[in-house]
Amino acid sequence: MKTALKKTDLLVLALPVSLLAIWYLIAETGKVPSYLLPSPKELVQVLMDFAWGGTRLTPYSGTLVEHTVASIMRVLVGFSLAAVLGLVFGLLTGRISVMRRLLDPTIHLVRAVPGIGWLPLAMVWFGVGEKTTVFLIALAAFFPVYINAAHGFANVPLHLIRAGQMLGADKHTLFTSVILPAAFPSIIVGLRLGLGVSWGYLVLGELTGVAKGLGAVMMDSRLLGQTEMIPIAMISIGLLGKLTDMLLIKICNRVYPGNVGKVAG
Amino acid sequence: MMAQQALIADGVHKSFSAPSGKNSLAVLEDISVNVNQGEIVALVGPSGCGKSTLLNIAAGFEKPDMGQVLFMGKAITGPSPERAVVFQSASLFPWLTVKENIAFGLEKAKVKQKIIDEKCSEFIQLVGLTGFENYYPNQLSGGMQQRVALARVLVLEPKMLLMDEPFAALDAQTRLAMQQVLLSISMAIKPTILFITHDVEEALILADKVYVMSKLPGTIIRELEVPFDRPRPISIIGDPHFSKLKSEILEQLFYEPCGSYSTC
Repeated sequence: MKTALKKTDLLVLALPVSLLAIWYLIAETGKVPSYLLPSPKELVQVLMDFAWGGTRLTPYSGTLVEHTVASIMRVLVGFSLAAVLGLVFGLLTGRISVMRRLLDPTIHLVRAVPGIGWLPLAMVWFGVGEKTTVFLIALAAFFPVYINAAHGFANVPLHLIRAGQMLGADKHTLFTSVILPAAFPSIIVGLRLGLGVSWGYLVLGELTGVAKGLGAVMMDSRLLGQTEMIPIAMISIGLLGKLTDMLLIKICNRVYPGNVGKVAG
Repeated sequence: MMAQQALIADGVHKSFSAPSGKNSLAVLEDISVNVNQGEIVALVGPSGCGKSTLLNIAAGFEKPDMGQVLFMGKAITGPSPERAVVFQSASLFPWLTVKENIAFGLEKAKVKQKIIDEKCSEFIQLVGLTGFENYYPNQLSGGMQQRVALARVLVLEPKMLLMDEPFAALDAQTRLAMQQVLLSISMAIKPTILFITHDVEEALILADKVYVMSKLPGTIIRELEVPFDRPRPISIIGDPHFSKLKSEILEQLFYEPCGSYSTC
């Protein structure tokens, strides 16, 4: 723990700490009503209550875990779908010219429709809630994964492929030991972007009306007059986004421990 | 005693279609080359004369339009570890360490891990990289990278080495040092080598036989046996006989297509 503390770069902390300080000072002056900008102190209390309950009596007391779990599950399902489809299609169009001509232009045509624009149609297809949210996440996260995977697979240097062949790699081992690792740095970029987008579309999907989820907390708390919950839900999503990104990088670095795929957290 | 033939190129033609469309660019015209077993043969020519194309055909990366290339009496159907290639850029796998790069081919040949470990350290020592086993390619200098590239093919004990201007991207001193590395290795294991270079001096230092190629479309304008004994120290560059041969070939390259073997 001590070494981790020592390693922490003070410069990294400078900006968030000063922002927090400014926020605190503005709230302390009392010139801004707390329903517009609650003080950090108050928010910590709300967050504690949201997590464990007991100190206040609101519909949100002690419900952090269930909302968070609901949101994480949606992201997990939606993002997994996007990742699998994005990687498979990226591989197909990246490596096979017939597939590129067949699929790539259409995929980019669909991509040109903004993800938000799919919301009404998704609600018609899947109804309000769970399925719509997962669909929106999968759809929006697919494109960054796909584009980067296709780019990575298409741009494996020819001399590395030839090197692999002349060293005795067959079709199968050439893929696993040359093409995939060469495309990997690009694939990681796509997955990270896709995961980030997933959290964004989670909120969009949950805003439309689901019972549980951090996006639902955000929307419903306003109607219930619990506006202090809005920043709490925002902060929670921010932290979850950051945590899942770190987790994704950990997994990726474990899959290919070479020093090329390595990315900073 | 007749030397055993390793690689024979006979009447090879190759052209590439221009990016713009139909007009094709003739790169190789009626190339015939012969490399005997245990021999180092250099192919020297101006840059862009198609010498790398010939090597790519010998490696099995490309196919000739006409003519044939035989290796050990058999037509070449594709790349194989028995005809190992050292490229101009080291072309190491950047995600693998020095040792893992050298182990790559052995793993593909399903050699036992214990033997892989032994062979890797043997060949890492051979190319003078002991202590750098766990470095990644981007942490090495150009000369060291090329040593790894050499070790990763030598470890497979190929029947032939195809070397495509392997030292061209190195600085002058490192290039001379690498030539000596290659010479000392070749004294030890007597490999068969086809060596592509645009550097006449390099060709004369390394090779038993030199083919001189013309500008595009590439043809062989001269074939000569290099008369110097081995081992050849760097000081051979100062030998009057060496200088004379070198300037002769250079002149030929500059004033072609009027060499003695001219096909024009």
